[in-house]
Amino acid sequence: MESTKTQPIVELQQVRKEYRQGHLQVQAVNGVDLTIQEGEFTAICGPSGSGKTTLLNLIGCLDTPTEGRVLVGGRDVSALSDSALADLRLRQIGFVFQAYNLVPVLTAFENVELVLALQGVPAAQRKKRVLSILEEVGLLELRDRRPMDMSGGQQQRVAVARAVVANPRLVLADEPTANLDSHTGAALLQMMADLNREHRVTFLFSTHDPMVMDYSRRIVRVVDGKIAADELKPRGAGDRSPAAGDPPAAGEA
Amino acid sequence: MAMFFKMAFRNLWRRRFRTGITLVAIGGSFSLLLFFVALTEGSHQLMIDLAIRMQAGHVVIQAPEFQKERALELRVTDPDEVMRRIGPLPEGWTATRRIFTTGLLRSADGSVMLDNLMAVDLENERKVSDVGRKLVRGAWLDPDEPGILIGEKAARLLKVDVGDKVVVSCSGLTQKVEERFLVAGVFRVGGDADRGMAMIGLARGQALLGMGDAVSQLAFFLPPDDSQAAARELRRRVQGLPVAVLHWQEALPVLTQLLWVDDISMQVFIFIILVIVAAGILNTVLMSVMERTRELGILKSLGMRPWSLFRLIVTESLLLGLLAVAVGAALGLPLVHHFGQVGIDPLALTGGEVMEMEGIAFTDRIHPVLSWASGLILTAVVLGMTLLSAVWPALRAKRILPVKALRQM
Repeated sequence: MESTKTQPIVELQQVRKEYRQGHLQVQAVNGVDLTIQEGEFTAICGPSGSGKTTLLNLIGCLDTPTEGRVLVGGRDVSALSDSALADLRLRQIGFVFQAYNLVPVLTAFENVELVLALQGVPAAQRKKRVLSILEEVGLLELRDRRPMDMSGGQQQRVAVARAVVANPRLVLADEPTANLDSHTGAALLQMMADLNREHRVTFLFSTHDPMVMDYSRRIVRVVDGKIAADELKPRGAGDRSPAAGDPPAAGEA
Repeated sequence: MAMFFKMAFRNLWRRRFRTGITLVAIGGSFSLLLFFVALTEGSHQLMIDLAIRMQAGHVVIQAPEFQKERALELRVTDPDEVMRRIGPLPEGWTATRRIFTTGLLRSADGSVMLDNLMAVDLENERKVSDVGRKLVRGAWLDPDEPGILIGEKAARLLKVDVGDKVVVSCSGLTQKVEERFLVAGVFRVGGDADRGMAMIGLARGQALLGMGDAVSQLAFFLPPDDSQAAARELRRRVQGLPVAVLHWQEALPVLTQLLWVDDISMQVFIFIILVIVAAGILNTVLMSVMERTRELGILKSLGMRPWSLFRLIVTESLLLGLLAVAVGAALGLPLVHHFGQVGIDPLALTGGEVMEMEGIAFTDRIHPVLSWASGLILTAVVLGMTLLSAVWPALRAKRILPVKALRQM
């Protein structure tokens, strides 16, 4: 059994994010402190426009804060160049998007392989790794299909495989079940919960899907750009083993 | 990186119709360029070849002032000494001696001005001159006969034909001279030369004009690629003799200038076509980048570096350019080959007008010819243009902000 001692993978310190929308100045995130420990399975939830996607973008180094510090793996990302941010995303973070966002000209296999190729992993190793992860998400048979020839659920499983194939420390999933029916959504969540438990991949969701919250061990509620509540459950719905993915101490918010 | 090319190549075929149209447009333009460059090269070769054979040689040796004023007294007085200094000619070279003068050609029925009366080395001139090939009646000059070759128009004006007598009057070196000749052959080379040019044997010409052994010009014919080097070598060998060694570009300045002007207008034409090609590529690539903003944003969020996105777009354009060049070559090269075989009637290009320069008419069929160098340069230029027109769209792709791109549907 792996050690359950954890360390912060993400730290937000007094983070604010403003942007202009026409003539309006919008406070999307307003003074957020948040710590995510390695191995967590956490949902950031809140109504539309509450700032959860902005928060996820900031953590994913897709956006920079107006104020405050964002630390990923202990590293302050606000001073990094575009290329350095790209490298950080490539090596430490996996993304799962609401609209799957697979590369349409690549097959399922190639979509998953892409991240490893960008990392410069040799072809033989890539093949081995991709086949193994596709087997894990149950898509080995469909590996030569292009996204347009797959269902939404299948595409999202490819997206999850792509997000975890390079063993990132953190997977960010923005409304991953929003476009899926409840059955497919549940299967996907179970798959991610298994990956969390077996590979200790940290999962962070932005969602307003109750099912996602059900699966999560920690729920961070965001309202008007601020953290309104930070709850810890004894176990998530996806937990099959009482010892795995032990919840860390809650964030400071 | 194989993955990279795979993506670039497949991206090209996402919009088959658009890519197809762009390919046909660029490929078509490229084939047109190949053909016109080949046509220009072919016509230049023809012009150079004709002008050299009729008026000069690849290299000529003559009196230093002869180039400025083609006067009889400006002569090479000892051509044998010149040839002795030069030594044995390399394989494939021909040297011929010529006298150029002017005169009057008369028959019982009229007279014509001869602005180019040539006395030529019968054996060697026959190997190089166009006149021998273009005799419509009669035969080449016989050294034992007092023969003359005249043009078709002159023959018509003088109402003479092969075997008839004509009289040549001209200024010799010291006095006015006159001699009777028999028309040995009638040529048709086209243009004014058919009226104003006539050819007699060198020995007879030297005797008639009182030139002794002197000639106006020693003309050397050799493999054309070596001509500049040959001119330098001949210049070195005849150093100290009172003669000038001229490469054909110096001996035929009007032709050289005409070819230069023609080259410039060809380059302008190429440039215009290339600008149109570049606009086509720019449009296609820019559209494809703008349509894929979201997807490119995803690639960036997955960790693709900004310059890698730049390279992806440039690679797509390069592939498009390579395919277009292949399409263009597939269309253009058979065209060049076909017309290279059958030739093109120059009258068809000028609308029936005979193009003439320095007394030489260009009536021979033009055979388009494409040198490797021109083909490769054109290919490189088209590919370069393709890359250049991809720079702006590629920079746009590089600058895409993932967070903005992800908001786009």
